[in-house]
Amino acid sequence: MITYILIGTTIALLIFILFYFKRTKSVRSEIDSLKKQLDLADEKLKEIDESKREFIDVVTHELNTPLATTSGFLSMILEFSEKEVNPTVLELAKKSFDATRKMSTVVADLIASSQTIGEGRAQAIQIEDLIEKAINDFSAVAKGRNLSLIFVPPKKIPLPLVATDPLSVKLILTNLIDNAIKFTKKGEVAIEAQEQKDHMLVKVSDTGVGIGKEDQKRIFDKFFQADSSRTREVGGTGVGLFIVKNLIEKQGGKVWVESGEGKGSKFNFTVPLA
Amino acid sequence: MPEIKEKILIVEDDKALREMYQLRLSINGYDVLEANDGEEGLDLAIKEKPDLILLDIMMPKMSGMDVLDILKSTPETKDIPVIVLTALTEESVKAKGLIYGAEDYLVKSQTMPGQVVEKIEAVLNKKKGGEAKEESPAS
Repeated sequence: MITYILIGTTIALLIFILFYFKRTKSVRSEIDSLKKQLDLADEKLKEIDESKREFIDVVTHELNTPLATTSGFLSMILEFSEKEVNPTVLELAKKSFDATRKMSTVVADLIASSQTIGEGRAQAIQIEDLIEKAINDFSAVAKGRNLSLIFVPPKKIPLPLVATDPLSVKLILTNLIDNAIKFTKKGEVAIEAQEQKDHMLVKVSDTGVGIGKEDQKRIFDKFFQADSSRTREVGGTGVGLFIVKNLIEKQGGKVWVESGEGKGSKFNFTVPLA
Repeated sequence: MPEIKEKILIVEDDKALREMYQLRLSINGYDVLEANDGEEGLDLAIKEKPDLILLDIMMPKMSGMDVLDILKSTPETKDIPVIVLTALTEESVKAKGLIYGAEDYLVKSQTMPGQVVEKIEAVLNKKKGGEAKEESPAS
């Protein structure tokens, strides 16, 4: 009797093992085929991405070249013809020039927002060098608007190295400083860098028009623009801060704003330490 | 004696843009040479030894990147400062240009001809400063 039970159990066990292996095998081959499909889809996506990038490059080139010629010649009319040209004509040239400048900014913003930027490899860098360079780039613009643009000296020098893509940080700082200057009529734009536990905190603050509570929630959304007379005055496409947020997050940092209407704005972002 | 102005070579395939830079640079008294494509640019660079080259990146036949590469690996032209002109805004293109040895880059639609002149002056002054230092290390 026991023998029969034993034989029965063994057969049942064998059948079970057989089924189990067969099933595992079929599951495995299913996984393999899914994996192949995924690889194929991945390859296809990469190809699409690549051709998209090429397309954008060509469109950018085709749009920007005539734009550069038009605004360039107009700028020369303004530069050299002040005394010789009828003031009305000069005024018209100035208006055309302003319009081409605005269009250049729009084209540049749109292209930047559709490009895969910020994928550069992180390097150990000294963030104060990048801040100083950015301040230097904007010093003439700030001076032209009677604003002081300063780098608040860090408490401890040198600051520890940060691990980030320098081009991304450059773009982030450029966007934030450009905005701060645009929305500040008088006072100052100040940049600070402080070492925190495991990251560097960078602050770009201004004494400008500030941002209302409701707008603060949406300010990093693509194409969002605060509805104020100042926004209409300075123009733009509303992708600057969207790009900033993307770049910061891609580098493993965070960005937030502290502000109030008429109280100036402070944009804070973090960068991981090296 | 009239001041001898520096020779600038413009390598740019777009005729209107080339004319614009030529016009603006000659106003400042620069001696301007023009090349329609990369090959012509390389020929002129070797033959005329300009003091500075304004080089477009996106050109048919030979790209500006290739031209820059050859310029920097040719003994006769390797010390000529190059300013890269690009219609693109892609940061990586600019970074690439700098890595390959360009002195600076300009985004065409963002830089007005007057600013191009300023940039050229800055690069040439820097070059002169460097040469003066080399000649008299004591100063």
